[in-house]
Formats: sequence, C-alpha cells, structure tokens
Amino acid sequence: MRTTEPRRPTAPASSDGDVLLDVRDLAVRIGPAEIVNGVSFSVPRGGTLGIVGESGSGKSMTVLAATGLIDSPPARVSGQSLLDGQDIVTMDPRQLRGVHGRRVGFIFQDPSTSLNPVLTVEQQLTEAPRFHLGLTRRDARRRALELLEAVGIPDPPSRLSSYPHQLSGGMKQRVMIAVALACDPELLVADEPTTALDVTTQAQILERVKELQESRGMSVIWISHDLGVVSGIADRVAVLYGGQIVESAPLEELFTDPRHPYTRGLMAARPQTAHGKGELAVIPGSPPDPKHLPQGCLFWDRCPVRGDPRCETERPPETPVGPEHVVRTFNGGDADGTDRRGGTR
Amino acid sequence: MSSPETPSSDRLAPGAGDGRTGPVPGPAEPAETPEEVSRTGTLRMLVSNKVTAAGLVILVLVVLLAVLGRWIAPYGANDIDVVNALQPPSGAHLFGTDELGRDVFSRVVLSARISLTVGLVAVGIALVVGVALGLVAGFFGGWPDTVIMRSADVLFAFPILLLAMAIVAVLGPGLTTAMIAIGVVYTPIFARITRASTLAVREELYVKASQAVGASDGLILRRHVLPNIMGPITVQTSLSLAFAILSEAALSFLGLGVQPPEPSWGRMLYDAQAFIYDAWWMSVFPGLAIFLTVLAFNLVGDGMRDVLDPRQRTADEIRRSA
Repeated sequence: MRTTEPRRPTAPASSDGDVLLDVRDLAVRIGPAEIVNGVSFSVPRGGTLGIVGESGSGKSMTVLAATGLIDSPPARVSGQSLLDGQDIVTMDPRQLRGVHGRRVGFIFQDPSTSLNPVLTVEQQLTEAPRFHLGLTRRDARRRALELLEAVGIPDPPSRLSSYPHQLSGGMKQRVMIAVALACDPELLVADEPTTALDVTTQAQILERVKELQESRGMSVIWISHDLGVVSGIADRVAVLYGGQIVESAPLEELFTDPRHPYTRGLMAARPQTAHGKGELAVIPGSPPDPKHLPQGCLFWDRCPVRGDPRCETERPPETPVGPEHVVRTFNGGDADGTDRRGGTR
Repeated sequence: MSSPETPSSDRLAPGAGDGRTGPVPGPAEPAETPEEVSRTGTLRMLVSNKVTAAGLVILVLVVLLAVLGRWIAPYGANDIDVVNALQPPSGAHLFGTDELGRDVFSRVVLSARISLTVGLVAVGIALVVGVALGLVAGFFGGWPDTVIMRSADVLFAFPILLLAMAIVAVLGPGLTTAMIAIGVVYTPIFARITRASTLAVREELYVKASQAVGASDGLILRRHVLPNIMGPITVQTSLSLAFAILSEAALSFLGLGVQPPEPSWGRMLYDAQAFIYDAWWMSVFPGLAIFLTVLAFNLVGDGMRDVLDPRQRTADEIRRSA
C-alpha cells in the first residue's frame, strides 16, 4: 500500500457535518490489474461531484467500490469510504443492503438493460419501498405514482402496468431514476446515465435530476466521460486517469484554470459548437494498461509537457494549487501551460 | 471499457445541458398506448400455431380422460369375463378384450390417470429439486456449483432407464418408487438448464440494479432470476413430462413400475406381448395412447419454446403491429 498522501483540507470527516461521503485512499485490484489507485474525494451534503474520465479510467469502479457494489472477490478493495462516518468498505452484506437503495440510490448507464424485462414498472418501482420502508402494496403504489410524476412521466397510472419494452429509452431512464429515488436516498450515484440517450432527452434528464436534487437536498455523484454534461450539473469535478484523480477543483475553476496537462487535453478535445471550424483536437495514445502501470507518472507517455526529470520515475503527489484545487503533476503548478490552450483565460 | 476513445469528443458543449428549463416532451418519447400483455396473450399466441394447437387439444383430451375416466369407462379395469376373452374390437368392446376378458378401452382410459400422475409427480420432483440446485449453483458459483454440477454429471453418465431401474431395484418395485426413480433421473437435466440460464441472467444489469436498491439474494433469485428463466424451464417441463410418461411405461413394461391389478399403459403392453400375433388390439391401443400423449407434450413444449422467450415475443408483437 502506498503511504498516505497529502489530502485536501477536509480534516476528520466524522466531525465535519457537511460531508456526506468521504472516500480516503481507495484502491481496487482485480488479479494483477490495478484498477483504482489511491483515490480520495468527498461529497458534501446537498452537493454534486462530477467524476470525469475516458473509458477505462476507473470511474465506475471507483464509485462501485466506494458504495460497496463491487463484487469482491474477485475485486480487492482497500482504503475507506465513510458514509456519515461509517466505513462502507468493511460493511458485511446485511449492512450493505441497508445502505443500498435506502441511503444510496443508483442509476446505471444503460436503461434498456437495467430494468427487468418480465416485471411491470409498478413491480420494479414498489420493490425497494416495500422491503426498506415496510410499505403496504397500496401505499407503495401511491408512492410509485408520485415518483413517476416527479420524474416527469406523463400519465403515471397507465405507465405503472407497462413492461419495459413498451417504454422508450428516455422513459426507461426516468423509471430508473424513480427506482433510485424510491426510498429518498441521501446520495444519488449516476453512472453515465445519459450516455445511451439522445441529446434532447439527455438535457431533460439532467434538468430533472437537478430539480429533484434541490427539492430533496440530496447529494449526487455524476459520472461521465463528457465534460459538457458534467458542467451542467456538478459543483465540483474530479478528473480521473488510470485510476487516480489527476485534478480536482470546483467546476468554474477547473474550466477556467485547468492545471493538469490531461485536463487541458480534455478541454481542447471538446468540439466547439460556437465556432465549429478546424480539426478536433485529440490526446494521442491510449490510457495505461492497469496490469502494467508505469513506475512514474501514469500520463507520462502521452504528456505534451513532460519536462521534469521526476516524471518518468516518480508518481507525482497530489499538490494543492488553490484552496480547493489539487493537481497530480510536476508540470502544472506554474503558468507555462496557459498559452497551450490558446492563451485566453 | 477497454477501447481507447477520445473523451468528451461528442455530444454537448459545456452549458448546453442547462440551456432549457422544465421538461419538454421530446420527439424521443412517442405516446404509445400500453398494450396489454397478459397470460391470455401467451395462450393466444400458443394456439395461433396450428401444430401446437393440435398438441393442446390432445393434451386436454388426455387430461379429461384422466379426470373423468371413471365415468367414461364402460367397464371396470379388472372386470374379468373369461368367456369373452381375446375378443376383437366390437360394439360391446370398442378396443376388444384381453386374455382375461377385460375391456381394453376401459383399461386404456383408466390408465390415463395413473400415467399422468406418475409423469406429473416425477417431473414435479425433478423440477423442484433440479431448479433449486441449479439456481444455487448458477447464482452463487464457487464450491456449491462444483459439488452440485459434478454430482449431476455423475447421474448424467448413466443411461436414463438403467439408472431408474437401479433405483427401483434398491427401493423395490411399485408406483411410488417408479415416481421417485424417474424424478431423480430427470433432476440433473433441470439443474443443468437452470444453472445455464441463471449464469446468463446473473450478469444482467437489472440484477446489479436490484442489488443496488438493497434486495437480498433470496429476493433477487425469486423476483428477478426465476421469472427470467421460466421460459426454458417450462419448455423442459413439457418435454420431460413426455419422457417421464414414456419412462413409466418402460418401467411398467419391465414389471418394475405399476403393479397389477392397477392398470397402466406400459403394463398393458407387457401383458399384450404374448398375444401380439393373435390379438393386435391389446398392444396397439395402449401403444397409441402412449404415442399420442408423448407427442402432445412434445408439440406443446416446442410451441412454448417459441412463445415464452421474452425477446422473441417482443419481436413478434412488433411484427404484428407493423
């Protein structure tokens, strides 16, 4: 295990009433593969954390491990994930069942496969309230109607008896959100919930989740490979690369002042709709193989600014560059990168 | 999750997500009327196939015979009338009489109940035990899986009838032991089918989603896994019923199943052996009864295979509405 690294100024989380989920030095191994490598973040009560990274960067694994949904074995999880001071990583299956659905709700990426094809919407929507809250069939049904209304499904009574294949993708994802919210969780984990949807539906879902979050005072972790989507919902963004948080900052700050070369690459790779000319910028290369992680900085072989001699031999530690802004690079703390993305800041 | 792709190179630019307020019904959500998909829908689709419908009709007749046989049969199963022994079919004896003058028609009718009972009970045993074992093996994996499936392999290694005979030899011949023996012999088939289907369903996202709302393993198995694997199990049940009835006939034919004076199709064939050249009716009619019953279960089983697959079914509905 790696030695403890300097953390953000969150101090002991249990005494900090504003932090709902505090993840410390979380690591996940599956066989020889190092999927998640010492991730630390915290989610404030009522706040939204966006987790951004490309495919294979360990976004989903990080959150699944932090919420106790990962299958272990085969996965081996170390570190801590404190939900109100209770460590989810060390919970037994029975304790986890009390957390899942009740305190933490989940929305998965693909709505077409996360609903059971042989059960009606009502059966799936009333399941958790009945065993978590002990509701009767009738009360659970009333609650299901309210939930469908809340997530913006027209004509809830007739939708209750629908089967998933009779619903469109956007509808299914709304039903999934209703399922996730059924027991009033304190934390909603959304794992790329809009990736499978078209842009219009995506915007509607995003808007709806924001409204629900505000009306319920819920915390949200929103995972995406799409900076645009995250910018629409998050207060704070963590950029994941090779199973490490390479940069973490409040939303505004990350967009106006990205310090890590990878974050800058991501910003440059966004299609600019306003002046849609020229070629799309890309970051050459591909993410590191989790079975053979390099000894030095994980981004080294793709990095455009690797100048420091330590880059190849040492993993850069988390370095604070602002009150709430940390970055994991030897080359981002100074101003040399500003001209790299066009110089406007 | 392994293909290298350039992140955030698609979809929205920042800020576009919060550009609109409130839900706007998008073109992606056509207001479709919820179509009623119910148990009667399954039956309707089952009957729409003529071959399956024929199978169903025969099945219903056999079941009626089994239930109402006592009132349909003109004679008792053991009304001996030696004077009229070995009579060919006639008005008084539709299917003729056997060597003791018993009415073959009455015996065929009265055997239906016993054959069906043996089939149902035996397959019931195999179904309950096999599905339970298969679910455990498939869902939990690990050593329970190894123990259960290797034991099933051992049972599979024996020819079905030989194994059933061995069990009967240990427990002693009779109706009850025949049912137990046939049940044991068919258990591994159900265990294997259930395990295979469970393995597939276990990886589905909705099982993960159910874990994510805190459902217990028992609840997940009952509500999410079992209903999704009912298709193949139902089909196997129907086909196994056919084979179980055949096995019962075979055991009874060998004198290991139903014991006289109880009538049974297999037993009747056994009795008819000696008279096959003199009284063809003694073997033809019970044989026909076995043939038709087994055929009917097979036809219905095949029909169900087509109807019960949820994906297949959705495709059918789409085709129909198009």
